[in-house]
Amino acid sequence: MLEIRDLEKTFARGTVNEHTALDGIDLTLPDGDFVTILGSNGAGKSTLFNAITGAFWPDRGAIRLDGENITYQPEHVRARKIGILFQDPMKGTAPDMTVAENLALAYTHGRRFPLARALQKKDADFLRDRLAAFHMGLEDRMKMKVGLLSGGQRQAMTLLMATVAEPRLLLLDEHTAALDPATAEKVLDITVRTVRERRLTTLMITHNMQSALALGNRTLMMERGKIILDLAGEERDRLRVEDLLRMYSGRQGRQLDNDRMLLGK
Amino acid sequence: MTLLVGSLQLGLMYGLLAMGVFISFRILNTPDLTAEGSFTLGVAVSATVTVAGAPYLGLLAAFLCGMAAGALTGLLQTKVGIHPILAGILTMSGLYTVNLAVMGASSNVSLIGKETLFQRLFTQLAPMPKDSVRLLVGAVLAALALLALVWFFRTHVGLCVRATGNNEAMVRSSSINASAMKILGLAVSNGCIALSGAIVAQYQGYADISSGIGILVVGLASVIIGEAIFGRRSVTLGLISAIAGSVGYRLIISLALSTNLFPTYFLKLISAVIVAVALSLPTIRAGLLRRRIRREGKKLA
Repeated sequence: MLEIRDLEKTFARGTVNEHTALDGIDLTLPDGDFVTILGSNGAGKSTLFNAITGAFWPDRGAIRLDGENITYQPEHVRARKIGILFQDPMKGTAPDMTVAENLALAYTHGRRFPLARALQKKDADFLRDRLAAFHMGLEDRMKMKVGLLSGGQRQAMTLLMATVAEPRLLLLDEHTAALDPATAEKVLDITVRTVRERRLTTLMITHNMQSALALGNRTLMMERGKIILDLAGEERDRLRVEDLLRMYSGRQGRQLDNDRMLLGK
Repeated sequence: MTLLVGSLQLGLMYGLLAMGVFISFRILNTPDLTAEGSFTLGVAVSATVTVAGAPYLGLLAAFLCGMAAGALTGLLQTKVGIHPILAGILTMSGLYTVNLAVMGASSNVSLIGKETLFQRLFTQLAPMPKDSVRLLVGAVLAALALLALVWFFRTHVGLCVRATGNNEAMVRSSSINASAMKILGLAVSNGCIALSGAIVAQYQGYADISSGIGILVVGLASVIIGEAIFGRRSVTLGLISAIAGSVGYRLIISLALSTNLFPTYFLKLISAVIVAVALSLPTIRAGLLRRRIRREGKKLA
């Protein structure tokens, strides 16, 4: 369970560039929740993720994961419980290492003596099976350097790496946005399958309003560092993209300004 | 023949240096100037401990001291946030004093008449020619270090070190402690470099405070020559090619010296030129390609 209380972050305080990126975020995610997040550019979606992963410390507020306060925990310590995928497929894998080595890195970390051989036969078999389930031909490329793979294949690998160690929370930051439409759909498909099968508590930022409403069980809309809409249950099931746009302009008194969101609908 | 044997002996011993430089330059992706100080540290520690009567212990002590020096540079880079090049320079400068202190405030220590590990082995392996013994020592040491490093980079922690050098952003968002991996990588790298200095000191029979000057460039030249022969594929091959490159480098140098192409003091300049030319080749090649495309484009227009 993820609990965020009154989270605040202001960048460049006291300068002309002062910018309140998170303005009192309150959010509770019960286990197994799959939440999609929408919002215009600069609404604070990625900033929220960065606060959760520990890329910076908030000015105020607290983040709790399974009851443990992780607000000021070092990044690599909390990363054991949090998996994250970014938009850039290059960010999640080491290009000069092989597929098998990359996967072994994520899979065996923390569960084996550091000086044990990283790539053992049984791990390789297990990881190959998991890759085969993606139907992207990755299982035959275990010995290939990751730098030679396509963006979609790299992102699929990153997904496996982020989820193989049983995280308590999965963060997806527009992880299909940099892929071509067909590949994006495929990666999204395996994402949804993985999340469902493993019942992962998940936060997914997307600019696609359709999939924001179609996927998961709850949708948040952020604006200027606040959560302005929190939809779940029947209300959400009945909602169409047009309604969402109307609700947005009703609350904000202006049109949504995320070009990709609008063009993508 | 003597030329070949000499190059092989030196090449294997400096092969440890080349592997150390390969670790920092290619695996960790940082040019680490600590090498200049840690090589001399290895020379100094090995000579001093040998004078005290324990040549084998000298190698071990040198390796550990080198690791400590590398770890210090790593700490400066990660925990204090000093620029990697400057961190290396700081450690290197500081080590100059340390090295003098290790050698008893003297700029050189002679091992003549002392029992180095070579002297011991000459008597123990008695009928064997001295040159063969020297070759054997170099080969055994290089092979042991190679095996140890190949093993290390296949362990889980070794994989973490490689990932840190390859994609730090990825490691930062994973549960691997990137700072610790950098420190460890630099420690292993400089341990190898100091071990190289340690065996060279006993081989030459003296320690000199200036033996580390320009040594990073020698290591880089070896790595690059090795890559020219074997290409850049895996870490294991990279380590092997570093040793091969080191032998190649010694061969080239001794050939050039024996033909009186240039006096000995030209060595450092030539090494620097080799490295500069080799590193600029990709850019020069790309520039030539662009010129050709432009010329052909104009022709068509």
